[in-house]
Amino acid sequence: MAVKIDRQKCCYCSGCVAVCPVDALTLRETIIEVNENCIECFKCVNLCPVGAIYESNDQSKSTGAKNA
Amino acid sequence: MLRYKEYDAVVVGAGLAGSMAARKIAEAGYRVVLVEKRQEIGNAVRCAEGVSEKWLLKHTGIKPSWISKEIKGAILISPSGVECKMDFPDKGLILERKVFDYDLAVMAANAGSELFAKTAVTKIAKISDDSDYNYLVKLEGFIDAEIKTKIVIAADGVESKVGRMLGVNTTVEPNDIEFCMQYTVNNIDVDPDYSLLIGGNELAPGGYVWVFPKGDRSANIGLGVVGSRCSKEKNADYYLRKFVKEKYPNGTISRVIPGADAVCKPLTNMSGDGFMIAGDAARLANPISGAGIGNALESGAIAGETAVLALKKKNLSAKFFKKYDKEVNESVGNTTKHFHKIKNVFVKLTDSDMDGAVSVLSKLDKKNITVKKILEIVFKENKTMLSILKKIIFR
Repeated sequence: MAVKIDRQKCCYCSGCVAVCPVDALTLRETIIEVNENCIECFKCVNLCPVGAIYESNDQSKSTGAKNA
Repeated sequence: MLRYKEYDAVVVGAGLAGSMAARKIAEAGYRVVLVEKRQEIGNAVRCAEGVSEKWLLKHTGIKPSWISKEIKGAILISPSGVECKMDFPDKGLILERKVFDYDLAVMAANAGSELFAKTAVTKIAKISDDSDYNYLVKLEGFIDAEIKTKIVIAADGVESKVGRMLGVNTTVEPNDIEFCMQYTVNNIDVDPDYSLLIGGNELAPGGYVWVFPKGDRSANIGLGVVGSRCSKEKNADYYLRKFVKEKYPNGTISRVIPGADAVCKPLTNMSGDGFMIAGDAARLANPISGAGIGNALESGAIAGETAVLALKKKNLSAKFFKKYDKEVNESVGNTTKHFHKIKNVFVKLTDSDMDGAVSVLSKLDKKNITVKKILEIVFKENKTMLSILKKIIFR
């Protein structure tokens, strides 16, 4: 599993960055990047105020819109 | 574009804390650069925009273009609809943060600070001890450069990444952060003089709903849900959609503003060797109300003044910067710590606790009542809560 961001939904509030226990998330302008530090605790998935973060089987590095 | 390769101070984040700090340092004549990673300062807004007038009078003065509405007080509404109207001791202001933040950064620039938007700090490395400069800071974006600095001030908001680059763990636990959603809703009937604060575990678990009048027919309507009670399906936006649909079915939405509000204790260490952390990044928002504007202005000003003193005395040691922690704690940090303890009890209140408390409150003389007094009354309604509160306060 991997953490993915649905860029159509994300409002880049950076709340997920604040709770990430391993500093795996970074916000640059309107883009949340997930780096290889991610331990897949999925805290961010449950907390996102707009439900823009999801678990995915796709391990490829992509921050594109869901199903894009 | 960048005037120098070496600076007395680099301030990261042109929000309220950062702009205050940069202005103070520039006014004293030191080389300071203020960087903001977003392309437009103040945008996007991540705030309910309410602040007591006293903070602006102390730190910035007041410009009409910063204010969208003045309010007299707040109406507390319990889950079953019991109301209690309270007047604030000082005038309440609903700001236009987009304009306010922008102007504050420009005030820093006009005082002599360099200012660059769309410039992120991506790396900070310690320079060996025998140099005058403490850190090598990598800037990326509009400015691509590596600069040396004696002092770093981290004012990068709730995400607080710069603190982590400096070796401070700023991560917040889910039970210590509120995830919020807010819409600016138009074409609705609002009380122009009072904000509404509505409690209820169905409405906003472990948080509350706010309605801040923004104009005669518009308001910032938002809510917070404590992180430990959020889920992917029932997130902050889920609760706000439900609330607005029910209460303001004809409202139109002109702004969608999500955000996160750390409601934890302030950082135990807000400073270190040649650095200070200010505002939301130092976890200084009020854990009960979520208000962060006043504490950001205050801690930013103290960081700026402490930087000036450190530069004058040529003392950039972690020991010297402890002065910053001390002053911030005395000014706003200790109150924040106290509110954090009370918050831990507040999030456990049942709907009937809240009903009882607001009912008692509504019968009291509310002239100049303080948050502390209100909380004491709130918890008197519930004997268990009161005993917990007593343990917290008097232990």
